[in-house]
Amino acid sequence: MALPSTTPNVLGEASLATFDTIVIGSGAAGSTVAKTLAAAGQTVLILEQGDNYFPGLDDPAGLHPPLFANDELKMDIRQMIAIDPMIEPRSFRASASAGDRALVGDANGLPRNVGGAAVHADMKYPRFRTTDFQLGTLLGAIPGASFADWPVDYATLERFYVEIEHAVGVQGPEGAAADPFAPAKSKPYPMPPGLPMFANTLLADAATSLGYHPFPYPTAVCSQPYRGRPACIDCGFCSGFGCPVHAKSSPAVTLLRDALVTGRVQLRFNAAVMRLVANATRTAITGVEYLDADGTVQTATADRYVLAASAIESARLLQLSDPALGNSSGMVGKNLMFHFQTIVVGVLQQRVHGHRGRSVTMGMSDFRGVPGDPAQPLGGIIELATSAELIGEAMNYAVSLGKTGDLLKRLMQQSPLRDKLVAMIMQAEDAPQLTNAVDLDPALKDVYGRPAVRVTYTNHAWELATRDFYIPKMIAVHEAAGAQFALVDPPDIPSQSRHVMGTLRMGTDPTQSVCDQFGKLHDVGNLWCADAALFPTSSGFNPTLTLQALALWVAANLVAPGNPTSVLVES
Amino acid sequence: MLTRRRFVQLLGGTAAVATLPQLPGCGDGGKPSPSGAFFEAHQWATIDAATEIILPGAHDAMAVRYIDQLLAAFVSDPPQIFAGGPNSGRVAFPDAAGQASSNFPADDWSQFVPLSRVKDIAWRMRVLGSARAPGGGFNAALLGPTLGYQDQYTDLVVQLDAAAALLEPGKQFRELSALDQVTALATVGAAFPLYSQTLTQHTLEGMFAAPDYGGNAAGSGWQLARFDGDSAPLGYAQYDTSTMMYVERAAQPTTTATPGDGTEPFDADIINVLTIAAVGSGGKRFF
Repeated sequence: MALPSTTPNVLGEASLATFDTIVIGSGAAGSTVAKTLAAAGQTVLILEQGDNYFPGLDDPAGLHPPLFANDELKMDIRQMIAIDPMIEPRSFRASASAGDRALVGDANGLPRNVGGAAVHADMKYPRFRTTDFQLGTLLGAIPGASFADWPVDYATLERFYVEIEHAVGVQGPEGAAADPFAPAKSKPYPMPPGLPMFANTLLADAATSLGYHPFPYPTAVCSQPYRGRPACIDCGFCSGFGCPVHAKSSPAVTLLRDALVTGRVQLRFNAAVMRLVANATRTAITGVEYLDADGTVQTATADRYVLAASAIESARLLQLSDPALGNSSGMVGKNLMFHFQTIVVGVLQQRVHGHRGRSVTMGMSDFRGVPGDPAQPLGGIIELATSAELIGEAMNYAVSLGKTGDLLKRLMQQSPLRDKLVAMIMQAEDAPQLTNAVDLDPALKDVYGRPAVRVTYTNHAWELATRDFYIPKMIAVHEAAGAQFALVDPPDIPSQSRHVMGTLRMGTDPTQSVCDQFGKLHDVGNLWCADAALFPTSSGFNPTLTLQALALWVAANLVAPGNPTSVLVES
Repeated sequence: MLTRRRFVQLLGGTAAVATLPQLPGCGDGGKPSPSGAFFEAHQWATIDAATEIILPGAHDAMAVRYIDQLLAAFVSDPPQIFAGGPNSGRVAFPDAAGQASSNFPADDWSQFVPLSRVKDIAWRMRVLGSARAPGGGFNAALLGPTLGYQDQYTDLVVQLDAAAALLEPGKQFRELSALDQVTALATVGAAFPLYSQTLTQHTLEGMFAAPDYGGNAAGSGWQLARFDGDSAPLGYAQYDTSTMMYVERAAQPTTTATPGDGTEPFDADIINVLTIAAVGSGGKRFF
């Protein structure tokens, strides 16, 4: 064993040449699967399309400084870790009747790099509610929507939630401080909440005065030293930025690193999978073709294969391989969901310095609603937020408002949309629809020569009505907080949400779903999916914790079918 | 957190018609101009003047130097696209009490990050154009070629001088009064919206991005916006392992209002902008 790897574009055990399992994607899902399989003694090859910004991630001696920084230009403007639309454009259209494509550029792209999308996130980690797994039954038939029950329930997933919360390190409130509507937990969070930001507290106090129930947001960021990583320093460059000190409990520095140092895992990055190769009957995968860092075609084989490339990219990989692969149901790519974000911002006369802290330290779930109760429609959790992006602020005044010259200078000095801004962001349930889908653009390509992703998506009247119901209540909170103005973000088309779900729905009926309750494709004997493509519904809570709990469920059943006993971390 | 894209959306539905910028102070067009790694002296002076029209203070921040550094990114190896990390060396390590010490980390940002094969193609497409980026023509048949920043700026200078000559025969853009520069820039912007978008974006980046990229000289952009800049490794709160409590920075707290901050009313023009945006979006003005 020779760690850390000295082979270019390889992390982990470079000498491994045969593998029990190939995992496509090194993010929240892939790292969870790889760690679980490696802990059970299996060998794993992870293929990651993006580059690596965690030098020495496979060093058993400890974490090295990352290449991330408090640098808005690098991370947000030049998008070091994002899908770059210059080389990986996507197309978008609202419906199939809109022609081949209406827009070309970025459509819900998640970051591409070792560690996956969560590297950029500020790691809000609430659990879903018990009823979120039963909306097919609880909501009944809604025309045009395809709500369905999950084939696993909260009680089944609860222990996997606990394992992830403790393995990665989540801070959160307990008892009277916690979300009063949250489902029961069998074990407390491993860390208490960190410091609340002034901007969030202002809104939380206003919300409390109106009878709502704000709470410190469960967040996968260390609030004290945890498993060899330091407490957060509240540097302020969190959402959209990689962590400069490894306090963020992102998959890269937690489960992925844990997997890499076992000696049973090899990660090849800058490795763009072109297609899965199937047998003649499409019942088994026989290999994976990918372009390596130099652009040379390579092939890798294993006994089993796991898709963990994100909802859009996992579905795309099937479509790139063979339109019929895994698709006897005709459901591959369908039921694409985002969280339907409703954003209302308040402008104060007072500076809140939104760049001093994690930007979202408080939330409230009063607007999540109750299934079937028209007086409490199903919205989502509210993030009590602020803003920290300076170039972004200037672009809004100059580009969106067309203000330049002396007025632009005064806007930057008085800073209504950054230093005096507070925000409420509702991550609301997005009704699944068969017509909201990902497929391959008929002409647009990416730099690898693959057909580009095409997103077809339009909102359902169901979630638009929910938005209209809660906007006045959000405006009222801003008024109670002493804001001078409240501004409502129009529904964004295409959606700017990075919460991407659906496309390879899991279910017990092979005619209505792509994967079974254990994440295995109904049609293919040795192919699983472990990412948010499995989600039958989107819930109204940030998805990554549930994504990881579900990936752990999938992986634990890979290790011990029907009797999952995986334990990631000893209590 | 709200992202830039989010804000563009936020205001996109209520944006007023673009107005001509108000006049900045007089320029210093008579001085000899430096040249850059890409720009010749005349190009440098012309773009410098144009950035100052877009945002007064851009000249002092040397936004033109930022633009020049981007245009010359591929002169260096690695290309100067992504500064390194994690620490800039501007911010101290914390001391035992969680406050700034006199001990500073090394400057990691000056070591630019090597680009992968495909990121290299992406940035050559942006800077040099798809025709001069090997492997960058994969969508040219469908979308047309990508015009690189170098070609955009080279032609922008030509167009600004042409517009200037129409206003005042025999004069170049940099020799115009500030009033005429505003007019010439608007004329070129209407005819070449791509150039205008690129110049505006890069002016703002040159003003407010970290000084490591060539602009924001002496942090003047951050001072204008009262922005603290990068904060690692000190951050705004340090965890004290002996007391198991966080320690904030007294002058720049995260949990409370900042000492010395009071109410800062907006001026009348900004109240007008915000009123239009709030009411137009379905929001509210509360006074």
